[in-house]
Formats: sequence, C-alpha cells, structure tokens
Amino acid sequence: MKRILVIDDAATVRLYHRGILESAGFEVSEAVNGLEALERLAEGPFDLYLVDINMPKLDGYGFLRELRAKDIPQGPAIMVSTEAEDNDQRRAYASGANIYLIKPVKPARLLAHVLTLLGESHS
Amino acid sequence: MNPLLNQFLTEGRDFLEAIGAKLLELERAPEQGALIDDLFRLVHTLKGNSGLFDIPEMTRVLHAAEDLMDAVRDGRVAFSRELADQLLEAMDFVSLLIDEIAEASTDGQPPSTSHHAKDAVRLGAALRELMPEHPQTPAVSDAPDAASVSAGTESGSRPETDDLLDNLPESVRHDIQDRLAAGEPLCWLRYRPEEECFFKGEDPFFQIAQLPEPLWRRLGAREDWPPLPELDAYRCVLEFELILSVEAETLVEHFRYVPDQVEIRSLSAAMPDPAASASSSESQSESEPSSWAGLSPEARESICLTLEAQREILVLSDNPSWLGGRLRAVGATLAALLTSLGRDPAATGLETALEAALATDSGTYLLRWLDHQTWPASKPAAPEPIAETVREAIMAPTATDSSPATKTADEPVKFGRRADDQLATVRTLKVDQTKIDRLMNLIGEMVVAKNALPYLAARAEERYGVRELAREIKTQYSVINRIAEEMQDAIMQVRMLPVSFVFQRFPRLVRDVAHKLGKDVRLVMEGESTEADKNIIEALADPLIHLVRNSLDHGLESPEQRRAAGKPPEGRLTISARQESDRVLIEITDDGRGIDPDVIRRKAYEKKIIDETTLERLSDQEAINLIFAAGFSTAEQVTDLSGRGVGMDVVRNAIARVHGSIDLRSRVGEGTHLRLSLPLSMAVTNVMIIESAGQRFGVPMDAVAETVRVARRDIRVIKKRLTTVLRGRLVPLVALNDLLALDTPQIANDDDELAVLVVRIEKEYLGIIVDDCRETIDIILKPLAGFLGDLTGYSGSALLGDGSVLLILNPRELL
Repeated sequence: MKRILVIDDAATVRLYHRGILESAGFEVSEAVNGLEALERLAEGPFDLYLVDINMPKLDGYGFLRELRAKDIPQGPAIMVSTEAEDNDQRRAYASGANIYLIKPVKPARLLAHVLTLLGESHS
Repeated sequence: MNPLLNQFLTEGRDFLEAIGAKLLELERAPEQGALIDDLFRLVHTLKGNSGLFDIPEMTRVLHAAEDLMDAVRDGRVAFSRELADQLLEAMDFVSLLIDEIAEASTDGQPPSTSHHAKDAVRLGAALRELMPEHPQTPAVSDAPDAASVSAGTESGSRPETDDLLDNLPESVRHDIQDRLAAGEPLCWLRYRPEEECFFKGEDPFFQIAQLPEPLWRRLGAREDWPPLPELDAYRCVLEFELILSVEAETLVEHFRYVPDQVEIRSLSAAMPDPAASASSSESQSESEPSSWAGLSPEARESICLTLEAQREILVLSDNPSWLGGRLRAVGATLAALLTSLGRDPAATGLETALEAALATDSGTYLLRWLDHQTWPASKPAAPEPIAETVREAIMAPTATDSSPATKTADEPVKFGRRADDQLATVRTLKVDQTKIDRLMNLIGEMVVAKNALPYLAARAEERYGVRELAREIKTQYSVINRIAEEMQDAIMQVRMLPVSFVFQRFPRLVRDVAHKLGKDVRLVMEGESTEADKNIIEALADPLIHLVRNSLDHGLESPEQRRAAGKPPEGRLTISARQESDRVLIEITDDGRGIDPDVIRRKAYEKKIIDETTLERLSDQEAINLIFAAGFSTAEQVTDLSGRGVGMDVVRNAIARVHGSIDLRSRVGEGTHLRLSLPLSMAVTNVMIIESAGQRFGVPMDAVAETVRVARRDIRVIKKRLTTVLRGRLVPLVALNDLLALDTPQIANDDDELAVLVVRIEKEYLGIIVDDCRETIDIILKPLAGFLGDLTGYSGSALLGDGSVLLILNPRELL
C-alpha cells in the first residue's frame, strides 16, 4: 500500500486529509511538525508528503530541505498553504516541494493530485 | 456529527483558549517575539481550519485577525491594549459561532451563520482599522456575505455559450452540424426561471414541455443543492438548456412573459465552421491517446499543474547543496505522473534524463526531456459521452445534474479508521463524557454485585453448613474486592480534571472586570494542576466566578482609595488550590477593604434577618457569616458586575450540593479570605445505616457527628421541642419516624435508652432519634429519578449487596 505522510500542526487538517486519502485506500501517517516528520522517516521513506508550511519547531520549508538532503528515495511532496502569494510558491519549490496548493483543497482536487503524484490511474 | 466538524470545533475551542491566554500574557510582556509568533500561528491555523467549512463569517473575522497579527509580527503595528481588546472581541465572536455550530449542527454540515454577517463585517473592519495602511481588501477576496461567496464560486462551473458546442455529446454535435449544414434554423435556449416563480403562477416545466421536442436538453441547478432538510422546495433554482429546431422569433414569442429570464441564440451564427471544428477535434484526438479522454477536469488540472511546477523547479538557479535530492524528487514526480497516465516511465527515457541531470548537477536535461513529451491539454478534447443519460435527465432532475463528475467527487468523504492506523504518537485521548459515565456506572454496579459475596459466604456457612466453601468464597471475595477497588480508583482518575479548567478563565475575567471598575488588580493563581472529580470542578465554576467578582467589586478598592489607606495602588487577588487528604481546598484572598461586622449587623437587622437580642449576642465572626444568609446583599447599589440577584447564600448552597463547605474570614482594612473545602470525588459516599420502624436508611457520614444512647428520662421538652444535654451542650432532638411521618413510636433498648444520631448542619447540632444505628458502608449514590426526583428529603438511593435498596436521607433538607 502506498504510504503518505501528512504533516500539519492542526488536527482538523490532518483528519481532513486522512479522511480523503484513506477513502482512496492509501495508508496515512501523521506528524504534527517538521521535527516529528523527520523522526517518522526512521520508519522508511514515504511515497508522498503532504506538508503544511506554518508549524512550530520546524516548519514545512525546513522539513523539506532536510528531507531532500537525505540519501533516501525521494517521494514527491505537496506543499499546502493558506498563502496565495507568488513568493511563497517559489519558496516552496526552492525548498523541495513538487507542487504547491492553496488551502482548503477540495477533496476531488487533492485526490487527483495525490493520484498523479503516486502514479495511480485517474479512472 | 461529522467527525471532521467535531474535530474542528474541539480544536477550535482549544485554539481560542490558547489565543486568549497568549494575548493576556503578551499584554503583561509586550516585547516577546516568540509569543507574537505563537499567536500568529494559532490565529493562522484556526483560519485555515475554518476554511475547510462554509463559515464565511468566521473565516472573515479570522482573516482580518491573521492579517493584523502578521502586521504585529512584522513590527508594522505595535501591540497595544486596544489591539488586544479588539482581538479578544473577535475571538469571542468566533467562540460564539463555534458554540452555535456545535448546538445546531445535525447533519454534519455547519449551519448557516449568515445572521452574524453584520457583526463579522463590523469586527473585520475594526481589526483592519488597526492596520497601518488598512488596505481595503478587494471585494472579491473578502466577499461581503455568504450569498456572494457561493455565487462567486458558482459562476466558474457554468458553461458559457461560446464553448457551448464543446460541451455537447459527440453524437448531438454531429447531428447539429448536419442539420446546420442542411440549413435548418437551430436555436440554443437557456431558461432560468425566477426563484419566486412558483408564487407567480408560473410553471417553468410546462413552459419547456410546450416547446417542440428539442435536439438536446439539460436540466440543472443554478447552485449546489443544499442538504435535504434545508432544501426549500418552493424556491426555484432550476436552469434549463435546450437546443431546438425552431426560429428564434418563435422562442421569443413563447417566453414573452419572462424575457429577462431567457437567453436565446440562433446557432447558425454562433456555429463555428463545421470543417474547422472537425479538423481541430481530429488533430486533438491524434495527439492524445484515447485513454486520456476520460480524464476528469481535476485530473487534467493536477497533471498540468504538476508539469508546470516541475518546470519551475527545474529552472531554479539557487543550486542548494541538496540539489540531487531535489532532482530525484522531480524525477519521482514525473515518473509517477507517467505511471498515472498509464505509460511506462522506463520507455520514455526519463531515467536517462534524470541520470544526466544528476551527473551535471543541473535541471537542463530533465527540462529538455519534458519538452519532448506529449502531455494532455488542460481542457478535455471532448466531454464525456453523456448523450443518452441527458435525455432521461430532464425527467429526473435530481438524478443527473449539470456537473455529475464534480458532484460525486465532492461528496463527503468517509472517515473510516483502520486497525493499522499509526496511533503510536497519540498520547492524549479525548473521550466523550458519556463513555466515562457509563464506565463509572458499570463499576458502581460491580462494587455492589461484589458485595453479595459475603452474604453468600454467610449463607453457605449458616444455612448449608459448608464452612470450607464459605472460607473460599471469602478469599475469592477479597481478590475481587481489591480489583474492583483499583478499577474504581482508575476510573475516578480518568474523571479527574485539574482546577485550571475553571481557573483559566480568571485572567480574562479579572482583567475585564477590573478594567470596567477602574481598578488595578494583580491576579496570582497557585496550584492550578490540583485535580478533583469532574462534577466537583464543574460545580465549582459558577460559585468561584461569583466569588471572584465579589472580591473585585466589593473587596478591592480603587487605586485612589488604596493610596489613601496607605496601601499599594495595585490590589492583589490570590486564587489558590491544593489538596489536603481527601479534600480540595480553594482559597480566594484579596487585600481589599475587608468586611465590617458592624455594617453586616446593621444590615441584617434592617433586613430583619436577625432580631435585637441576636444583634447584641453575635460575635464578629458570626456577624460576618450572616452574608451567607438568604436575602442578604451588602452592595449599596446593584452593579452590572456582581449584583445579579445572586447572593452568597446561593454560592454556599451550590458548594453544599457537592458536599463542600465555605469559610469566610475578614479583617477590616486588611482583606478577605475565603476558603472552599470540597471532596475529591463524589462517586463513592460513605453512609451509616440506621433503622427505624423496621426499615433501613442511610445517612451520609460527613453529616454525622456522633451516635449516642440517651436515656428516655434525660429527654426534656423545652419550648415544645424535645431536647437533651450532651456534654454540656443543649441538643434539640427529633424522632425520625415523625420526620418521615411513619406512624410508630421509636423503639428503645432494654435499658430504656434511645439511639440518637447527632448530625451537624453548618454549625448546628441536631439529634435524630432512631431505633438503632448499624454499620457504615460505601455506596454508589444514585439520585432519585422520575416522580421520586422531587423528594428533597432523600439525596438518593443505593443498591446493597443483598439486592435491597437503601434510601439515603438528606438531613439538610429533611430538617
């Protein structure tokens, strides 16, 4: 089963994402900030990362940079933020994100992106 | 309730709590950058959460608050009391919305909060007012009300007439093209009946049915259908689209009464050149494999966005040390994208391109590879073949609506949990209270059931004469007893709440009240982590607030008065909690003006609470205690704050209900000290069993002072009341049978002595004459329910080990 790591300090957002992803049959793990997410990598790399930007301890940018510097299989990362500014998108890409989405992401949209990034068929 | 909404509400309350606390902390130490960061993050996250639901009022206010906090974080705005006030008010509003949603939500969707739209606008504007430039946010991003928001999101999904033909099923389009080529007059018609049309006697469906058979038609809704219970069937939101083989003039004539609700276009003009259209669709089908045709709009969007993003990533020129990781992530993304489109990444040379990119430490090779691939266009080449369903659709409007694809995908997701969920990181569980209560009830029954074993042992020995078995039962009983007790203890632990649950609202309360009264007050809280049973803590909330208000209102003086009295201008209010054996002690101390016993004496006398003789006899402490008497209030004027018609007697009764007591000491000019003593838990009650008129009753041990035998000759009648002297103290006596209206005299023992249970109520002693006093036991007290609930003389009932029911007397009410 494809494994997805959802990193967000808001439990509501984690639950929201978990609900969408699990209903599509993916295995979801959660981390409440970047540091915890890095710890979760000990279980092995994930197939996809869903990363919030603003988090205590280690934010999304920091986590992605650390992740990309690791010598492990590099799964795609979706950065999810409430900021709609161009700046943040560029910063996300420069930090190692592969796509950048604005919250809230509608279930159908999120699922489509996840399917694309996990190499699953859309039909 | 929808678990997601539930989570949002729970988390939202936590956030609000934290935001309030941080704001107050910040007010004390405005220079703390870390606090401001935390505050911003909390507001930001809460706003993000609210965006998951359709609560525009909440999102609006939070958005403004977030912008303001952002400005504070950047140093563009200085943190001030005014700003804190404004933010606190905004958070109160959000809190109100959360409460409302929690109340009303039944079907998993938050209810409409649009009646608060005005407040939301006002609060949002007030917050923006505090911003340096307070830029007028464009109406689009900060829509004025819920209606325009939904209208805004709506318009995007409506097909425009221009690409009308693109949205037609293939077969219909061909048919239309053939007919147009043959010179037939075709018209496209869109009819949007007024919302109120049913009330005007219009019949949109009849209008449509009266037209000749169309070549194509579609019936849709102008907006998303609300959940069924909210659906207003008398509001018409339908939208008809048809293509007919008639002249435009005929249609104009047909709809002459509602010209503003129809849009008519003659297709011969709008129709693109059939040849061109055919060739364009051919060229698209050439470049796109057939499997891509079935891609949903979301899938196409995701593919395009992913490709575009990878391009942007690859052209970045920042060259970080971990560029390899970035390139491999892009490689993985592109490989996944190919796989998702049903292509084999290995066959496309992606791997070679990635290797080349990694070798040269640059994205160039991957970019080049990207450019040489064919990708799906962002718009579908042809819409899904829905030709046949459309024909039926007009007859069954709910079955197929204009956007079936998005509809099904947007359906609420089911939040199932699987066994392999990784819950390892969860250390705290939030459990519904009813579940704990159920556990509590079960363990209560268990404790009672276990008590049957000693009876059983006794029976085994006395009646069947099997001593061996009796002993074994007793041994087994002690094991079960130990486990049950530990279990009970463990469950009680779960029910324990720290007093901070009540205390946490004091900083805000004290701040606001002191503010209002023009007083400077320093609040000191101690022992917030002291724990007690949930019921106790909850019962404590209102009385405590009342006491704190009283201290602020009547106790502490204004800065001027304090200075005049030679005290520091800032008053001090201490609220502390600690545990002492099996009681929780809560103390509220202020260094205010104290209570003057003479003033109390005078007031009490004026209000006829005491008579003249008492007036002279009362000690100062007794006088002060008079403020607990019913109908006593010393405030000269009823203030907005504490004078709410709730006196100290109400406070004392509320405390007494959970078997607590309250003690007040005060010195004029030095301050007042209140001490509340409460049990840790009220789940288990220790009662003494007494007998009277052949029945057994329980009396809570905390009311029992002693039990004595009094010879009948020592009982005198003074002022028509039975009285006796116990250790030099005059104790009034009552017979329980008289109290309960049982028509039998109390039974004395062989020495003509009567059993007397001395109970203490407040500071008064009273003897209750009973037939006999028996052992004390622990029971689980169940309040009387149903029509017995009005019997105040009993505090409840309990099941005994032998299966009988014991009624527990409530001496306070009984006398």
